[in-house]
Amino acid sequence: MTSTDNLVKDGDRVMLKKGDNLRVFQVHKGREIFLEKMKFKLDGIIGETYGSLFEVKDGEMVKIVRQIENETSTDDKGIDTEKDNRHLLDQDSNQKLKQEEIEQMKKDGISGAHLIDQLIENSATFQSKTEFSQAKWVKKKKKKHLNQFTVLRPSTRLLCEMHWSKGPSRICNLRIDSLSQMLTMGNIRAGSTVMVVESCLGLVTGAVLERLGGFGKVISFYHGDSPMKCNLDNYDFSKEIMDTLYNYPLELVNSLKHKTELRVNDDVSMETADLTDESKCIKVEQDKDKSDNIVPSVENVIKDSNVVIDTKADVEMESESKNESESKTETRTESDLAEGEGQLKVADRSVEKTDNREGDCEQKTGGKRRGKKWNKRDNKVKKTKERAEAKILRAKEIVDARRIIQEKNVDCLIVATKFHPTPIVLALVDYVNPSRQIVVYSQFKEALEDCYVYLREHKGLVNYRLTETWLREYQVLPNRTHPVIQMSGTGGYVLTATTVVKSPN
Amino acid sequence: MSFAKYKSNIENGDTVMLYLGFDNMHTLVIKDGDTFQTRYGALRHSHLIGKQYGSRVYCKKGYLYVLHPTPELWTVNLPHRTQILYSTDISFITMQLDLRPGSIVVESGTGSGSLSHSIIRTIAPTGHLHTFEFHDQRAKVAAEEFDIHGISEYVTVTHRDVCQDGFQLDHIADAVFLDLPKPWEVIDSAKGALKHQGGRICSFSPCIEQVQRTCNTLTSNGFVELKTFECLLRNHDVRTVNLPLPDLGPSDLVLHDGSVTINSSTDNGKQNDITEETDTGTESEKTDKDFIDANCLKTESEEQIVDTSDKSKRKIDSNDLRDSNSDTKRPRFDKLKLQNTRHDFDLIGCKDDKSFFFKTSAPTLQMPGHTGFLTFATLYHSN
Repeated sequence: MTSTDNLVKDGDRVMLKKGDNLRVFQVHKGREIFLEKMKFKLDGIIGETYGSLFEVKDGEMVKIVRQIENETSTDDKGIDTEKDNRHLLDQDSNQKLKQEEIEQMKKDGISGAHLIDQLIENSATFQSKTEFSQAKWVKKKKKKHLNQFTVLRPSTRLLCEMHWSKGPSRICNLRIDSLSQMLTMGNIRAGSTVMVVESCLGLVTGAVLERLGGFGKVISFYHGDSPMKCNLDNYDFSKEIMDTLYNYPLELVNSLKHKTELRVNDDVSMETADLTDESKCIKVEQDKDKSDNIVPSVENVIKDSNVVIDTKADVEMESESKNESESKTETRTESDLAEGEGQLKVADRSVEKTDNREGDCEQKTGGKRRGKKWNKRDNKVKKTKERAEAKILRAKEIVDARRIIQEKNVDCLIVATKFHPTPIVLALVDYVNPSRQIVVYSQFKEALEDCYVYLREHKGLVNYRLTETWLREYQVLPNRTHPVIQMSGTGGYVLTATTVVKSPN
Repeated sequence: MSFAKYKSNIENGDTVMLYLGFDNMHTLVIKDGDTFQTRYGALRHSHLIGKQYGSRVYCKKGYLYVLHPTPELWTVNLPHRTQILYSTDISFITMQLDLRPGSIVVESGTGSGSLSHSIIRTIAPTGHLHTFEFHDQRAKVAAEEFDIHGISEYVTVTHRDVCQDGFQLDHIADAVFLDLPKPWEVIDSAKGALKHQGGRICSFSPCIEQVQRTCNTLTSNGFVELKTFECLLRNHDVRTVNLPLPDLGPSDLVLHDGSVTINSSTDNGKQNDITEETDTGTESEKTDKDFIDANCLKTESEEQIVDTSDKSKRKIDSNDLRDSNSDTKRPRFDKLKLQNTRHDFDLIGCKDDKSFFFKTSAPTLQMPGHTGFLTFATLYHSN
């Protein structure tokens, strides 16, 4: 790694860390961001080293030197003190500085450290507090008044911490220790082919991509219209890593058992600007007869989704029916299933819509940027052409992903969704090589119990484990060491098992 | 050779895992001509060569599965030379140290190599592990193991007491892991081993006094964002439980004069035992009862699938309601709620007149309550 690799560049995604508070932003010269009730530009961090500490001054980020805390010098003082809180009264008059005065000082550009000194000076009770109490007080004030941010490169660890503190429900309450278990128990490593089904804002897919480091393949299954690529943007992966990712729609999972191969329609040339909705990006290789029997599962799903999706409208799959009578029975069961899926999807879409509304500021800025870029290109022909190209690319990706899955050479299956995992796992487990790991996460133990019972019946797996991890943090300070007061009650459950060669009996 | 990457068939010299049942596994190195004794009878190594990993292999008195080695299976089967780290702590360490392909990691001590195998798995093929062990023979055995497992190119084993002589590494590492009785003695040296741009450190200590001292030293050496955790694993056994229903007597037993006669002919006692069927184990242990049980559950969960689609419908409804007049919201919502209450099946199991059956997964009665405290910290580049 060269030294420039560790410098913040314009366009990078960076994480700003203040205490336990983490946020992702994209660096853009001249653009203001909004964080901690402040508006400021990130220009000051460009060209600086990752891991540097900055303070917000007059709407700009200014690099400051990190101080080594000499907390250790207080070793035995605090505990032997004569002071206690018997004379302390809880009243507003303890602080002589008025709220308005503090605000004015801030407006005048006082540094956070200086402000805290002022607060101490004007506190009637500070001197009568014990040393430990003073330290705690200062720490609290620092958290409130010091606007210092460490600039960090995004990683699974930091993104998981960020989502966990912002809104764990959006990542299915997947706590960092559960995610670590999943990656370890799944034996995720460079060179593997991994299938990921998740609805944790791309966190699991990103974590797997990070662990593969550009070696291997990740097939990420998405629900609904299009893959949630913008979530992976936070990781700021290199092209080498992103090239190992293949997106595949969940709606085409049941159809995987049909051997028919999807093929990108070459007739749709890149030059065709007016690409109509009816044009097919994907065609099916038809070997023998040209009977237009469409695989019901796919067709129904497409019909059910009344929102027009770029690829989906174009991806049409046809296949020959092997046997009239056989296909009839199959048709019934599959269409039933498809209906169920369709309903689920509508619900899901509404959830996503609300999600988008309360989208994070970093996503908003990202969206704005894309919007701006988009507007610049007023050449409509170019626009449709690009869209057509994107469609074909997406279609190609689906075809590639399908081929990889159907090779049945997958090394791991990881499921962590808001859906009931059993049908997903049952539909995909047979594409995993023997003697490999499957990992299913759920925030509900009952879902995994059900999954376990079905897998037992499905056969072809051994060494099942249904586990839960317990995570307790400790405050470690001289003479003040104890578990942290608040702790997380659950971080979800993980079911793991090892695939084996299916025996006939 | 089998640890470096997945392969499909067993070859001579491979390390394989034999799975005989839940918590009953062995590891062995395939050596043509050798025989291995299992609980199900003798197993000739030559019989395994060429077989696909994951195959079922028959012995005289039963069958077993031959599995591909993974660091996790190795951890539960390796020959102990020291106390070892288990997968729960290992996975948390791997995540907290930001390990990935290409990471340069320093570890001390090597011990039995449990963590080492896991680190190498994650950082290969472009990363490297520098592991230090003060016990000469342990260092040698670990190096031999890495060689047999085909991963020696990713690791350098050094026999040295790092507390006395330090790591002697010049700013090359992304992460340092310490499992030492006195970790504070090497923190200065660990700082020198971490890259100029900074990195992560982890110290594993069983006792809080060690943690206390380590944290002091980390802070005074400029490490920041110190976090100390305990991470424990709870195993859940999926099983069917049968809780007997108590006999509360008939409701018409109160006589006219207010006295109560007790009918002594009730046949409880026999039924009043909780029975449990553990569902964990290999397929060979599976009984017909289990099978019926699973079928029973199938119908239940089919209902559940219907139920979820109902729910999603309802969700849309309530979303619609939110948009429309708020006055109409309450009564219609209550109506929906009423529909939600189903009486045609028990929510979590089924009852007959004698007992209540349900599927559950209960934590094991005994579990390891403490392994050690994991302290993590970051060192940012010095400027």
